Amino acid sequence: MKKSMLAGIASVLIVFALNLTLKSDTDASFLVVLLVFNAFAQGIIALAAAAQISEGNWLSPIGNKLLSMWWLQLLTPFLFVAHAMNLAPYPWTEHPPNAWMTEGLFVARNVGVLLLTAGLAWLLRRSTLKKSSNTTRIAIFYALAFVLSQTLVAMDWLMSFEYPWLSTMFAPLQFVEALFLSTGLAAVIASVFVQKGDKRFLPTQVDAATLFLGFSLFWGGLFYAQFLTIWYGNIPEEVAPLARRAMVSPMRELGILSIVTMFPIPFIGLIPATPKRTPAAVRLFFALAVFGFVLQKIVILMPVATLNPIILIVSGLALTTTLVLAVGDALAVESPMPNPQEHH
Amino acid sequence: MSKRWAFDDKQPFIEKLRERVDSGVPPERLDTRTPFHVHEVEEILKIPESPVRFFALAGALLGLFGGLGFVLFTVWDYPLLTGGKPIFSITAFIVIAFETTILLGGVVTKLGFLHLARLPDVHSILNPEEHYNQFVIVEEGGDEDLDEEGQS
Amino acid sequence: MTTKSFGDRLDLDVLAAMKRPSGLFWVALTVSSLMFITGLACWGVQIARGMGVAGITHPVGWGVYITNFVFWVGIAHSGTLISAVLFLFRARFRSSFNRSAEAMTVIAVLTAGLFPLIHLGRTWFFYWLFPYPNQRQLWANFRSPLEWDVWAVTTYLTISAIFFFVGLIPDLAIVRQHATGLRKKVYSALSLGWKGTSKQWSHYAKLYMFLAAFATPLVISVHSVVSWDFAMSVIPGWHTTIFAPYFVAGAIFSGTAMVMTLVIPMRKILGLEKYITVDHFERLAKVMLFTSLIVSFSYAVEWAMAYYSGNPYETFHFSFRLLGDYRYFYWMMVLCNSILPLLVFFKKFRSNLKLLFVLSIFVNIGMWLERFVIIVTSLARDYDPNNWGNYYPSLIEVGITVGSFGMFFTFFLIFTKVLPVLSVTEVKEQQS
Repeated sequence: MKKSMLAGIASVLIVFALNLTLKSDTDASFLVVLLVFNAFAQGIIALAAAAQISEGNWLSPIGNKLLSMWWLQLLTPFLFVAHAMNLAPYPWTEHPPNAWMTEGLFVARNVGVLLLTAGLAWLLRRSTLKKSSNTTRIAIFYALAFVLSQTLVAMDWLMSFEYPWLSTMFAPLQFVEALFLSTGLAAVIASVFVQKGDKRFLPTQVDAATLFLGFSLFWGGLFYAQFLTIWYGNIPEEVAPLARRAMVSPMRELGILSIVTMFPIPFIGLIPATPKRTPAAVRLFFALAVFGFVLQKIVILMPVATLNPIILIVSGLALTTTLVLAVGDALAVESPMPNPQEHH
Repeated sequence: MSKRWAFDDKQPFIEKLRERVDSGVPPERLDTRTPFHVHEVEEILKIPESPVRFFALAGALLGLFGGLGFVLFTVWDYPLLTGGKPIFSITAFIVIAFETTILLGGVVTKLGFLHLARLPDVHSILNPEEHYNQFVIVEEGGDEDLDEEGQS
Repeated sequence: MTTKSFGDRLDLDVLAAMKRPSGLFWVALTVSSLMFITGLACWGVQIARGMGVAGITHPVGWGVYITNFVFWVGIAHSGTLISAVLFLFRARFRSSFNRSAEAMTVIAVLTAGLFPLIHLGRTWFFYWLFPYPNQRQLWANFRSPLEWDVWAVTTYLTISAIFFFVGLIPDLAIVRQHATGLRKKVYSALSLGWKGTSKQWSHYAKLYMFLAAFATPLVISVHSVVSWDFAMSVIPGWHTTIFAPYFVAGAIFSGTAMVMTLVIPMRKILGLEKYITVDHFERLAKVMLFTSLIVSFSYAVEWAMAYYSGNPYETFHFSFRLLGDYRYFYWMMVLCNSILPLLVFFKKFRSNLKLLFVLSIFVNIGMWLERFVIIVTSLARDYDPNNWGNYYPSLIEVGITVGSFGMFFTFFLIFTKVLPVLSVTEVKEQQS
């Protein structure tokens, strides 16, 4: 068994231990880490699926490498169960408002969809290795499952902390963020080879960095659309949750920092051609985006939950180690290189 | 006096162009007429990157600051409260600034292109030269009397 | 086959479409012109007798006119997607459609732009929408989404027209080559004396890339701004954050359907089957399917959120859409936009151009109905039951709607005779 898989299993055990011992009835620390992990675990396969569906061979040098990390999605249902062992932090648990927002159904539907997505990720991986004619069909099913899963992540895991506040844009923001971070990771993976001198990966690095820039802009646009609608409508029930985050320190400053690191900095920084071709630049903007993403989730959760630094740091380190080791193992996986004339 | 070579295909055209440059003809004396954009011509004739991009940047910046500045001026000039929104409603004005950035960016880029490409070319409008899908090399000046194949 | 001989053949095939119109063309032009004139006459009646001739009244102050406005702006978006966005993504299949799609964009934006004027009532005061120094010391209200619309649609019309014209310059030179007499002079002037020199092509390539880069955010922003006409309000069914991407996806969806509606018969009638192939339509159909799925997702999310929140206004509103007075429109909308497009998943369906054509008609109907359902149902049933009321379009509104379709098809038919329907230069470049 690979080191990364062992690390994954160990991480799950550590997370269970932390949630059983240290998690209080208002704590949401592990959720921050879970959101980041899930975004990568599902997003990298979604990226590979999108490349398959659109017949773009820009991703082919690293496509198999990304697909080899499908097994990360097997950890997510367990990690979610660890989080869901104590749902007291959610405000709707005490008096479920309707049949949909009940603890049993909450856990069942999320675990079910996570398993479905993991199963389709495995099928996609297997079908790609076999070069099966069904690969595109499976990729389409995975994409649909990914959207469904990320919608539940947005609505159930995160948005319901502010129940009954809702934003229909929350779900698109969630899966766009997952794709955004995954394109950054794809660019970073390609940059490892570029740095070693293998210029065959340079077009992939540049293309992934361009997509990363595009998703950064797309995310910025969606975020602005959500903000504008709430700001303009000025409905007290909608504005209050936003005001709790945008008008009170330190959330206000952290919130601005998270937006700036996810949109203007990567977007403006990656417009010129040179940074897209430079491994260090690509990694810097990716790191800033991940930092911004983590901050954003903290800002969303801070007014409505407590954050235990021990759970945050220990589970964060455990799952980051798993992810880094998984990427390390993936780097060794063979991927077909496109014919230079066929690039695009 | 100019010499011309006309080709029915791209490849022999590129080879001939390369040959003329390699034989010592300064690229400034060479020009082409092609039915579509041939990237190799720019490499062979060492044509620098088009400055159209500067017009694009200038137009976009003019649109961004001009548009936003104008809108802010109008609300400063007549500070009328509407919908309970602040006088300087930057959130709302971003939309206008975004559109004016693209509007002026596009218009100025187009004007820059017309200037750089020397269009409209009145002489060519009145006396158009037609090549009917041929790839043509035009060599200006030169003292040698070469017995190259070609058509004028 | 040499590049020249392919190019000569292509020129002749495309220019053949611009020759003397056939009987079928004259019949089509007559019908569409009559529709257009009907619309203009109805508008004249409205200007003469006032807005009371329209069915819009309290509480439904926005009806078919705004539906048409959003519909036509939406149609326009697909043209920009095909010409600009697919250019940046280097999708080769776009070159068969992009000229027709760009023409469709410009004509659709012109058609859409009429509707704010029609809806004004006092059309002669349209210039109040623009900021100009005046004795009333009033500036336009830049905080209003309706004012954002003015800027967005003006920008879109300008940039689309520039993009359309720029793409045409080398093709107009080709038409000039084969024209004689007065036609030659006209096309010579329109082509600006284009010679195809190395420097001209170098500048042209960069210009095209920048215009595509400028037009791409327009695809997202213009229909987002149009959606914010509704989302900036506070009534159920309108005030929702997802409207921007929902409308943009819907716009591209309806636009690709309209491209199919126009290009499938055009290809057959003008004999361009060699250049616009079934494979091209299959790829376009996949874009249509993808955007259909996004639209269906938006329907589902809106529903889910209404019931998730337990908000009685939201839950009532969505029940009204499904079961209320406009339920047939809603069901038809779901059938045309969410269910029928799923047939594109099957290769046998998407490679059959007759079936794709029929599907595209249904999608156009479905997307028009979607805008109608969103606008009218939300206004008909807002927060206060004492304020409820239904809306029924009047004959004048129907006449103007028919007129807008007449205008669109008239201008498109004229386009097919006056300008090359295929991007000749790009097809030659690809073939080489």
